[in-house]
Amino acid sequence: MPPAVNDDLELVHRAQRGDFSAFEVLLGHYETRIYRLAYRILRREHDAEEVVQQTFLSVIEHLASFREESRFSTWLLKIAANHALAVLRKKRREHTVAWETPPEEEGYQDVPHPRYIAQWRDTPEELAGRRETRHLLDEALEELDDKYRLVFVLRDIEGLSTQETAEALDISVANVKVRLLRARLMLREKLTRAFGDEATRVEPHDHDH
Amino acid sequence: MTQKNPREFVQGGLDLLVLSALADGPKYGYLIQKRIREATDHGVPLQAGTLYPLLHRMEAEKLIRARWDDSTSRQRKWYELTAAGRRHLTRQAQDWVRLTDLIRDLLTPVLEPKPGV
Repeated sequence: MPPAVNDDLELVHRAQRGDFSAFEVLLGHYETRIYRLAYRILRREHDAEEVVQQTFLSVIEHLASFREESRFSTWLLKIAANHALAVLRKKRREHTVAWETPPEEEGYQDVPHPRYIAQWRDTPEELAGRRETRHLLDEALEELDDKYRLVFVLRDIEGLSTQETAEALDISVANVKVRLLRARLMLREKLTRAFGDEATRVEPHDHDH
Repeated sequence: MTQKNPREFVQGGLDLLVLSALADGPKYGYLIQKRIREATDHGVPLQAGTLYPLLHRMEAEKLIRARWDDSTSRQRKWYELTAAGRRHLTRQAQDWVRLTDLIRDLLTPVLEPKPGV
């Protein structure tokens, strides 16, 4: 569980005054969370470890400039997302694939239409408590394009706001919204195949859109 | 031997491990972790959340110095011992070895009791 906001602030203040043990406690609280965030984005242990290290270095060097306009955890996750994004961009450049989509292509017109509809066997609460669910979600996430996965991880898994996600990824709020919608729809379809009740399955191919 | 509170001594052990990992040349954080992990046969798990504040403190104490390297595709911060850091390492290593020798002398009979005792 993430520590309470007030605990963080007290540690931040101590660390800002040069208390190294406060730094240690603060970073220790978030190490696993940053690693998981980076791993979900980059999908390689080594890259995720690098992101943890880069993030900690940045936090140590820039903590003095943390203005408490956001929660410490949000500030930290934005830094981690930035580093993960930088690694991703480097990889993309190596593979000469563009990560950014030109703004005019980003709209609601191509939002995926479901090809598989079924009621889920269990309630979301029941599913959320299961280890299997997390595993399947991670698998489904892996199949998403980077640009959708990043938005989904920051917004729906890490709980950043739309504005914060936009800042972390350096894209517009409108783009965050569109990408999030697409990501959710694509994930829903993938997960419905895993959790859907066969008895209620419908093939919506006779829809006319 | 330098006079030291035993508790401080144990806490200083981690500093000593990190300094010793830098004794044969500069390293960046991950390489320091790797060296310590291998040298201690995974017996001392050093988390990044512990390592970086520790490096930062030792840099402030001028025991190590750091520089950024941008020449590869990844930006990395390399650490190396300063002359003061090397002196500190040597002095602390001597103290540590003397203390552990004393402790070993005390503890060996506990593990190998003489027959009939």
